[in-house]
Amino acid sequence: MFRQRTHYVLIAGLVSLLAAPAFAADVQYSTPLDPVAFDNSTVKNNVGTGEITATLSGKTLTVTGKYSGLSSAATKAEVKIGPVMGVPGPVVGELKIPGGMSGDISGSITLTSAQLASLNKGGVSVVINSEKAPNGNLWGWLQTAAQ
Amino acid sequence: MNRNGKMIGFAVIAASLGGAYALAQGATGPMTQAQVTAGRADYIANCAGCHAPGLTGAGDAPALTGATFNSAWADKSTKEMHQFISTSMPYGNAGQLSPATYTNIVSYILAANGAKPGDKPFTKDTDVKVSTIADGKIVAAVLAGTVPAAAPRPAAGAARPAGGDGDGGGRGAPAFNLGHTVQGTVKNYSDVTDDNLKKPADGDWLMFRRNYQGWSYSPLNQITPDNVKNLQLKWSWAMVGGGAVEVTPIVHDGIMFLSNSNNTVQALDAKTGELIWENRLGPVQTSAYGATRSLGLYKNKVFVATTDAKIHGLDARTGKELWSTTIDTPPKSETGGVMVINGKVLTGLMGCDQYSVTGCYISAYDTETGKQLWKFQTNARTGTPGGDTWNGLPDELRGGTDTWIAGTYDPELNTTYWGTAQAKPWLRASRGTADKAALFSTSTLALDPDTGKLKWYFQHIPGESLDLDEVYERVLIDHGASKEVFTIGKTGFLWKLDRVTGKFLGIKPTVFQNVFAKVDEKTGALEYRKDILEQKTNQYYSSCPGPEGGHDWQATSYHQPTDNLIIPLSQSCVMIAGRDVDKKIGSGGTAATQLFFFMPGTNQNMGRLTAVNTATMATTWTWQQRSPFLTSVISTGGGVAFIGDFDRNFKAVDAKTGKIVWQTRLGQMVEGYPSTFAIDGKQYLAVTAGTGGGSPFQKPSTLLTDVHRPLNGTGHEVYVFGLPD
Ligand code: HEC
Repeated sequence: MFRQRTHYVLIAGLVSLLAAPAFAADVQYSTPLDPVAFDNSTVKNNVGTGEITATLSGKTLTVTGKYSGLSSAATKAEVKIGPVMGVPGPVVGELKIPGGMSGDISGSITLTSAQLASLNKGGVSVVINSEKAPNGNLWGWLQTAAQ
Repeated sequence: MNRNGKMIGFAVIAASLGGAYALAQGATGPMTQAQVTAGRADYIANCAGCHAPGLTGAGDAPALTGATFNSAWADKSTKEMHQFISTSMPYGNAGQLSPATYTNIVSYILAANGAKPGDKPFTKDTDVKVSTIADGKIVAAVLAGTVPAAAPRPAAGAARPAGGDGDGGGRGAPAFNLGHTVQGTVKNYSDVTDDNLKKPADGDWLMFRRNYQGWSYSPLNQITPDNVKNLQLKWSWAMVGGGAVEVTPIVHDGIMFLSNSNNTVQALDAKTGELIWENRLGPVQTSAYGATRSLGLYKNKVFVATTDAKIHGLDARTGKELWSTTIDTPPKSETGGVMVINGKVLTGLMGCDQYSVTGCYISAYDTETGKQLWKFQTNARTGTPGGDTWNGLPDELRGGTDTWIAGTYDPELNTTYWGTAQAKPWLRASRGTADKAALFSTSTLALDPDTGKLKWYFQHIPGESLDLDEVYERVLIDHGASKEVFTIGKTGFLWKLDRVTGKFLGIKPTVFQNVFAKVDEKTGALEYRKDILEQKTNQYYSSCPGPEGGHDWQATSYHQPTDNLIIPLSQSCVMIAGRDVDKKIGSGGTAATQLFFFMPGTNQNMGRLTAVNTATMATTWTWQQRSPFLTSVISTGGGVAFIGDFDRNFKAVDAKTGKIVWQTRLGQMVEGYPSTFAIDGKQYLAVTAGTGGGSPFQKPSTLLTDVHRPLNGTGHEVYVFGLPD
């Protein structure tokens, strides 16, 4: 739903910060998936729960997770990148999702340097859409344990 | 369709229509005159309280007419509008009206915005593009209900209905007779002196935050973390319902002075709960905002500011009205509470979101006569200091800067401290202030209480643009020779300033925030995230925290023995979009729509209670829970702090550790400003429960679908607890 929103241009200073070295140790991220809620007309469809974990190895982010309790079948699992946590951004990749009201999610995407900077600021989210909530049913922003 | 679809729609409107579109000439709308007529009464009974009788909106509730209506609905269908209203409104009681009531109300809103009734009834399936039947120009005759909606439309500008808050709102509500309804005399009342106000007796809760310094702390020490579990209900009292309960039970000499909805004041025996006198000043309000947060006491009088923007002096012994003065006219109102300093009663003003000639100000009145003594304009006027910070907007389009929380006072410095709300409409893109500061919005003001002259100001968020208010309590605390003022607003930043000079001393985040890309810890300067700076109307922006705060009107308590501020916090975010706004008197409003979501990183815990040491600004203890808090914190010399929440729990925590040591569950959301007092050497505790509460109540009522509340409940109560005799 936010595809038509502003495109975020990352501050140049940030970009230079993150020459994520290929030899760095793997970094673990995780997030619970919250219902997107929004307002009283959407809240009863946007239900469910889930859990995502992700591993960054070099520039590859490998994502696995589970979801359950949707009120309609899942249709899509997307990775979005905004500048900081809580700001949904454009879709940068799709994950495998079986459909149905519950199931597993998996997949991996390769991030650019700018996207890695966003990841470190909590800007990377996983969003699950469903038939009744085609523009976001569950979402969560990846964080390290330290964040 | 849902609001998600609507978000995409916004971009389309902005791109293709540029706000201009033609209404099909002579087309009649798909509704009947009978529906419009019935819908008018239904609207007044169920919607006008928040959206105003004239559909102009108020507070958080957007206007349902004009440019704001068009930017929300022009490109949508009548079916989507009906679907939204019937599943989301009335706010807090969504979906509770009959199907016919919803179709009637939608018919009325469409007709009031230019749709002409025909012979086909409106149904939930009626599917017509809104802009083809309604142009957002209000039809005064439909509003007034005097002539059929099909009659020719009067000239634009004749749109506003007479009155506002309190006008016509009684329809649909039970009869409520105004006047001095219960006459009686308080026996043992002693006049309140200036010295009493400066150093309140231990057993009294004489003013809003109990002392001039705004501590919300009582030295009473009978109730302790050890014995608090023995607390029992001593009495309770059903208050006047309706609107929000955000009141402080004021207690002096064992008498409780209670402000109620419908601008009703009562005196009760605080030991037995017996009513002594009642004065229903009125008007009966339609506004969602309820009774004033705090009454003021001085000498033989009790002072109350009312929702029709008047201030009254009553005889504290009998409740008889001694004087009444008009501050301004509705939709301005006053619910922030009054304070008395040096024989003057000071009050702020709210409802300034609507464009008006008089704007917004703090003002002072003679406690003897009610005569106005001074006014300090909070939306700086052209040609006055700060007047050049509004991007050249004419004075009448400088909305907001409301003062809806009473101030505090330092007797030694003879200075009173007030917070101001943001400029309005909420988003700079809607109000047209560009990157300008819009003084004196979101500021701490230090005023001379005798003259209203500004001593200094500190603007926390220049040009605030997301409804992140900084209007709340200013708490005065000393550390050695350092005289400080603390405040915390919706951003969740706790601020420390030098209260002699206004110099910045410190800033501390208490909840996650994503709206500021940079926070300068040396100067307190904040820099918005880039997309917020470049904002446009009808586009959604993420705001963590959102308008629930961070911190909202639920005030902090300064627990003096531990030097901790105990702070109620909320954790939620919104996507917020500013509407387009007609730049004319009577328009304005807050002009934004919000979509709520849980704050990332909180595990859906919306409430947080945090103690911060005011010397070091370090967190002493903190914990979170699913339901947000809806009362202020009070703390005591006994080492207990009390707080109430959305899930009807009233809790006691050990002030030192934050550990919950007692809790009980009340009939409604526990909401308001509790107080504690003593009679005949025995400590009591008073707390209100009820409905309303603005953003801090709206957000959880959407997000926390698992927390059940009494449906359609409008009642308010006060509960008084004490240890066994
Ligand atoms: C208790 C206060 C309250 C009451 C009563 C209430 N509303 Fe609302 N209304 C709100 C608030 C607050 C919002 C903004 C919600 C948001 O941002 O999502 C709103 C939003 C709306 C909107 C969307 C406006 C926009 O620009 O997006 C419409 C339409 C609406 N209300 C119609 C109604 C109708 C019709 C009724 C009566 C049946 C009603 N409301 C009763 C508080 C109220």
